[in-house]
Formats: sequence, structure tokens, C-alpha cells
Amino acid sequence: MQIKSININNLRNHSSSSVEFSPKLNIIYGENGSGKTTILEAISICGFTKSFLPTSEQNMIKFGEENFSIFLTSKNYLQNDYFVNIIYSAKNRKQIKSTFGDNLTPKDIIGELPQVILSPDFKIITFGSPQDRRSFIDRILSQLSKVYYENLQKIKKILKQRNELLSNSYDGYDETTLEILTDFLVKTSVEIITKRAEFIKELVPIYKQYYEFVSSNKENVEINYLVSNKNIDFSIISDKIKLEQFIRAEFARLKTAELRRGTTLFGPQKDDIEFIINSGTAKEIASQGQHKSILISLKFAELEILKNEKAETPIMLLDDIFSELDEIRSQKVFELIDKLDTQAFITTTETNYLKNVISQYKLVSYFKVSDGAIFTEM
Amino acid sequence: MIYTSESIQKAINSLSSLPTIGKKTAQRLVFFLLKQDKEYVSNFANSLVELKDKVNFCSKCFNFTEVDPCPICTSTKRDLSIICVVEEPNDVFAIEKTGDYRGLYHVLHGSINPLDGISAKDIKITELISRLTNIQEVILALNPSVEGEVTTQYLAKIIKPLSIKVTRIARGLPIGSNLEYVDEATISRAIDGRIEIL
Ligand SMILES: [Zn+2]
Repeated sequence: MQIKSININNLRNHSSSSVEFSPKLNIIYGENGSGKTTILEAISICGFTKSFLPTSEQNMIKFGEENFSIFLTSKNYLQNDYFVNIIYSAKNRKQIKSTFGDNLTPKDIIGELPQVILSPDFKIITFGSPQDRRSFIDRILSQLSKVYYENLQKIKKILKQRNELLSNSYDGYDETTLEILTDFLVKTSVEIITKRAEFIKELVPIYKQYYEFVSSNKENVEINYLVSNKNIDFSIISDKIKLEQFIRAEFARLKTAELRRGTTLFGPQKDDIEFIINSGTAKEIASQGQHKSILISLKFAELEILKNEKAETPIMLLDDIFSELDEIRSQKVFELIDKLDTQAFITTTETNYLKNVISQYKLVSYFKVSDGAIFTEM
Repeated sequence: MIYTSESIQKAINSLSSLPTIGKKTAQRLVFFLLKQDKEYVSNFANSLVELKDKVNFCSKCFNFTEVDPCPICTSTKRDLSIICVVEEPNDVFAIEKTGDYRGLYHVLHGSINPLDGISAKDIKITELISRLTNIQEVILALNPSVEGEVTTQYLAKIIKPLSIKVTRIARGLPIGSNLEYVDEATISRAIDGRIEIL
């Protein structure tokens, strides 16, 4: 995938910005608060309908304006043009248009502009909560499968209804309705868990290779998928019939507790992914440098899987990561970008250091961002 | 904005209380009405009052009607052995427009939705069950939302033991679409709902 150009209107501090990109390396530099990350956010909105930063759309509209809009043009590996146009105003629903039509829903565009994002904020994948790790995996699988994305939306609704029923159960509740909601929850959970488990299985060997390349040390790394905090044998979680039996048994076992506590106590909304380094979890024993190596390896493994599955090389967004990386790791990141032949968008506050690291690469464009305006360096 | 007439303000407030009508549209509608002659406006107002005076629910199918039971329930040309269950009166209009369905209807007036405090006893399920003598088939035509699905399963669970055939409407591919361009979630649902060729 290759982004050709983007127009950004009234997004954060950008009034009206318009840029054409290099097919390879795009270095976007400027001071903190200049609006350089906003360009990456705009690309992310065109791919996911949402920014990769946790923020409400309302807060992204430029102060005093009524809406923001983004128009992005790209071409895929078959040289077919693909455009996305997103308009968000506080009053109306988000309007999504693309080459595929007007009045689209998020489902219609998610996965059409495959992208991998590497941001220091994503250290939450190893440091943060199980929720953060689930978001990481859900974001990838949503790009890979619309069925998965729909199941995620569906399970959220089922859980809301089921939790509501359970939380009022002391007043009496309808047993048949609970049975049906539990049945829906079991079936949707099976779909989500098997997909996640299969993905982790595919991810691990690729991740290990990248980890070995990125880190100078030879630690042994591993990733486990935990079903409600338990490491369940892959032969169960990859077999839909066995998994369904297992989950049904769990709900039967937990029924009294669920009614007493008034909430759902089992399901993929409680699962976690465990990053192992040598013999402990990364969260507990990894050094700062090891955390960075894990994150970088994970993101390149993500890119490779998306590339294999979609026959399309995702673009890569790197948000201010080089200020936190030593020169060896920085060089390795660029070697990988070059080897995987991905179009990269890199934000940084300082360019001299990068210019050294990437002196041997061709097709590099520099963009200076200042007060929400973009200047292309000639 | 402050209007020079309290009546204008009141009319704008009434119109903008309608779904999908904002203040600006309401204002435009009010100025339009002011330009019309008196007869037009009285007819318009009367039609709204009549709506509430004359239209009621059919005591059998719970669709809107002016005569009870409604013309569909009393028709001699319809198949009295089939009932199609829908969530809202709107859905009856949608199916009637096709002209293909010749059975009866039953409007539930909602779906099971714990979040909105609506349980099975709050919609017209008991009324449906009491209509099922001499019925051979119940078609469930509820929305494909989680709430619609829960209600569909609920009805199937209580109607099947009565030895009545229960079917649901198919959710498949849009006519005229090319398989290659339909998203995989839709295709996957269509495969789930596949039917045997007899
Ligand atoms: Zn009737």
C-alpha cells in the first residue's frame, strides 16, 4: 500500500494542510505541539476510522470549527487507486466515503488501508493492563477479518445486555433470556478466542526471528494466550467443539457466582496475552531496552503477518520512537523498513541524528511542521 | 433566536420535537405554513388530531388500525394458518409493500432488551401465544440486532414445543450483487443461513 497524498482540514491545529508523500521514507519533523503527530493520526483515522491515540473525536476538531475532514489518496500493489474521505462533526454521525461508495460504516473501510503503528504509547502492550494487550491483538485481527470485527462489536452488545440482566437479577430475572444470552456469548467467545489463539500461534515464530535480529542478546522469548488467566492447551482453544464444551462448563460452574456478583465472570473480555522473556513475564523482569526490543519485534511481526494475509504491504507509522532508541536499534528499525519494503511515516523532533542513520537510503522526503502548517523540504 | 410571536416559537418547538427535525428545519416549516391559506393549515392540523382519535391497535395483531380487528386480520383472502412476527408496525408496511406475503402478522412492539428495561413480558408475546391455535407456521422477521436475535431465539424456544413450524427470514446477499464484492461478514452470514435445494 502506498499513500500518495493527504488533505487535512480543521484537525487539531491544522486548518488546511495538504501533502504529497514519498513512496518510501517520510520524515515529519517539528517541535512538540507543532502538529506532526496529527498527520499520523489522520492516516490512522483513514484506516480505522479512529485515531491510534486515546482521544474523543470531539476534542480533535480545531478550536472554534464545526467539523474536521480528511481526504487521503493511495494505491495498492496492483496499482489500483483507493481514496478515503472522513468528515466528522459534533452534530452528525461520522461520514465515511471511499472508492467503495458513500455512506459507509467503519466495517467497510477497516482493513482496506492496512497499517502498523509503532508509538512509545504502545509500551502499554507489555507494561499495561490486559485490556491494552487485547486492544493490540483486536486491532490487527479487525484489519484481517471483517467477521472478527463484527464478532467483537457483537460480543460488546451481548455483554452489556447480559450484565444488565445479571445486575438486576436479585429482583427476579427471566431464565430463558439469560440462557439465550449465555448461548450467544459462548458461541461468539468461541469465534473470538480461536481466532486470537491461532493468530498468536502464527505470530510467535515470526516475532522470535525479529527479536533475535533487533536485540543483541539472545534471550528466549515467548508469547502465551491466556483464557481468563489460565494457560489452556492449544489443542483445546484451537478446536471449536472442545472450546465450546469448555466454555459452557465454565458458565455452568460460575452461574451462582455471576448471579450473586451481578456480572459476567468469563469470556474473551477477560483474556490476556503473556509476554515471556527467559523464565519470567516481560512486565516483571524485562529491562527498558528489552521492552523496546519486544515492542519493535512485535510490530514488525505484525507487519509481516498482515502482509502475508492481505498480499498487501501495510504502511508503517512510527511516532517519535527514535528519541527513545539507541543508534543500533534505530539502524535495525530502518534496515527492517527497507527489507520489508514498506512506506514509512516517521515523526521526530530532531532530524540531524536521523539524517546520519538513513544517509544510505533513497526516496526520503522531509516535511517540517510548525503551528499546524506543513512545509515540504526541497 | 427570539421570535416576535409566541405562537411562532410554540410551533417551532412542537415541530422540532419530532425525530430528525432540527430547529432550522422547524423554522423553515413554520414560515412555510404561515404562507399557506387557512384551509390548508386546518386540514393539516385536523389530520394530526384524527390520527390520535381514530387510529388504535388491532386487538389481535397489534398493528395500527381504525377498525378492530384490522382489515388484514379479517380478510378472507389471506392465509390464516401463517403468522409473521415483527418488532414494529413499520415492519408490516415494509413486508406488505412486497405484496408477496399473504399470511397474518403479529406486532410485538419492541424486542427483549434488558438495557432498556424491556423483558419478555413487556412485549406482546403472551398475546402471540394465545393466537396460535390452528396456526401451522410462525415466521420470525425480527431485526438482525442482538436484541432481535435474543427475541427470535426466545420465541423459537416457546413455540417449537407446541408442534408448530418455526422459521426465520433469511439474511443473505443483496440481489444483483457480485459475490466477489460482498464483504466476507455478509457472505459468512449467508453461508450460515444456507438452504437445501429441493
Ligand atoms: Zn390485526
